Amino acid sequence: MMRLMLVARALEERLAAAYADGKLSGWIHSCEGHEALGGALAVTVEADDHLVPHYRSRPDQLAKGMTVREVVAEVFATVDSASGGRGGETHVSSVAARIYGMTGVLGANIALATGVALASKMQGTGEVTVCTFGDGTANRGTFHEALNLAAIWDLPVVFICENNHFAELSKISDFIRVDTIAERAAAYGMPGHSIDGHDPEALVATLRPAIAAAREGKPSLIEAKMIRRRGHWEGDPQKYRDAVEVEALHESDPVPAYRTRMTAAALADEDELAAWQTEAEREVEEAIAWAESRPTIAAADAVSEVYAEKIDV
Amino acid sequence: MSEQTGTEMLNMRWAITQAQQEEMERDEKVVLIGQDIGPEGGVFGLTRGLFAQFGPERVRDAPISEEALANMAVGMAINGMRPVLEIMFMDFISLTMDAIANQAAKTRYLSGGSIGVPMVVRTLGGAGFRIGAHHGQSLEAWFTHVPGLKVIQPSNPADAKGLLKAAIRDPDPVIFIETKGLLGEKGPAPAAGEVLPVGVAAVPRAGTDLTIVATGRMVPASLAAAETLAGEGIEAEVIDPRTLLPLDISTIVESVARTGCVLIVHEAPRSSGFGAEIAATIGERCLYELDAPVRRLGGAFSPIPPGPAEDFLFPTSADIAVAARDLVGD
Repeated sequence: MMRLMLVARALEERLAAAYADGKLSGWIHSCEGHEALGGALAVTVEADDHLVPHYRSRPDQLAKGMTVREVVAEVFATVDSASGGRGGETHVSSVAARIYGMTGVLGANIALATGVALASKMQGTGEVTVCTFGDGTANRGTFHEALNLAAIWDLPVVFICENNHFAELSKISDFIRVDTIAERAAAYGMPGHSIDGHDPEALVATLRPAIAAAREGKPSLIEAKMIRRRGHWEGDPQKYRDAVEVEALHESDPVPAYRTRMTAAALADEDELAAWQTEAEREVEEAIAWAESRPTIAAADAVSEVYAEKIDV
Repeated sequence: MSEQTGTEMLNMRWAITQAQQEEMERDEKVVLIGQDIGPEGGVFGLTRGLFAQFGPERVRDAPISEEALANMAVGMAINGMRPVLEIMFMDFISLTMDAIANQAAKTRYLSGGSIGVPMVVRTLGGAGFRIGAHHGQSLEAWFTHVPGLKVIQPSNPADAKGLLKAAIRDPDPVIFIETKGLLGEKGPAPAAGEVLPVGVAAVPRAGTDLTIVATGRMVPASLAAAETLAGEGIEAEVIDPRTLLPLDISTIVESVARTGCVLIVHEAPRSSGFGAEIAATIGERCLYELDAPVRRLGGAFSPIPPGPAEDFLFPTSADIAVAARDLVGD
């Protein structure tokens, strides 16, 4: 878990730097603060399981088996990415890692995940679909429709709301009247759990039985409460956040917190952690240097792969 | 279904049901999802008998959650199934636009060709039942504008059956428009097991004096008009594109170059209707072969009123004949 969290954090820091340096076209949505869930997914989800993630989910993508290089290639839209440079940061997919359904139109993936799960159920594969999305997206109609469908059809799916307390540039507390998003699960007849999304061990303790239950056709909703450490996108001045709140971010960083906890519990010593940190930074640096050297899609290819067989239009 | 199989004539309803039945027998990955399609056999009776034959898993009655169901179909298709989603009235397809236009249509591209979405959305389009503004629209042009989709609109039972089978086997997402005003129409049954190619127009009537390109209910209306015109010595060629995306434009262009006159007729409003695309392409490809300006007839640019007033909005065979006479200079 710790190693994945360290890689995920190093990746976010390095991507933010690349964006600030103008090395990255388009945009980037920092996942800093979301790493603990990635760490927990890495040890709870099987290789054959499916992930239908959202746009702020690089730790989840790494957890599900994409390499740093594969993720970086997509963010930089190089020809080496799975999409060949057609997807970008918002549209990451991997057949090998079983990741699909990422969308720029938030919430479609929640319903799409139920379809992946229904197909698994009908084919008797025993696979689970994990779907991640943000707190703002829990206000989409698809959230409500999809949870109901998953419940009535006993689908092997776990819905995970990564509640980082901000829906783009707005506080989620302005947009929901209930105390937790998890309690909405009751309306659909499924269990809901609201937990500390900065605590990878608490996440594992909740995810493990939830995934096991999903495999038996019992879906659930998990709300992982976390704090988005940076803006909605890089360059966001975050005027909607006050200074006290920003200051408090230092106290609530899941990555050093878990590092401290590991040493305190003698799960790893400082030398080991420092080596992991060095390795994480090296892996990220190597991937980004490689991506920066690689071409983006050529004009002729930019309009290919629209249909299985090209049609004349 | 057996009472229809093997007979020479087939109605549109059974054609649609048989296509699904045959494809479900052929491929266990084919599953149907929709509202009241199970034991009730669908509001329009297009899945009658299928629940009894294939059971509740493969003929799945669904709640009123169109957006999620369409996204669900995308997810099923990604994960190895071939879902056929029934959207009871095409008007309701507005609820599924994101799933269809953003998710289904773009998944192949966004995965560099590695993930296909072989799904079909069957939907009942067009007026004719006199049930008002939210149950009779013809919205095909919403979809012909979206790269990644295919759009099919048959106008007779044989085409409906052969093209629905093709749609279900297609590797890409297909919007399959069933013209509800034609559901009771009878026509010759296709050869057993016949699968029609997607992207090939039909020419139900050959002619030399003008070309009429028509879709849906306007095909039989145009054929009736052509009969009337023939009595006056005007021979109209009638083309039914059958699939709008991809469009068999070469059949249309070849015909127009030969006749020199073209009338395009559809039930959707004329303004920005699919006929505009056909007209523009004719302008690009065979303007100098034209003896008269391209002519279009379409539904009125208005919401659809209930009851008999519905008929005021759409071209009739008489309207088509008048426009045709005008075009050929009679």
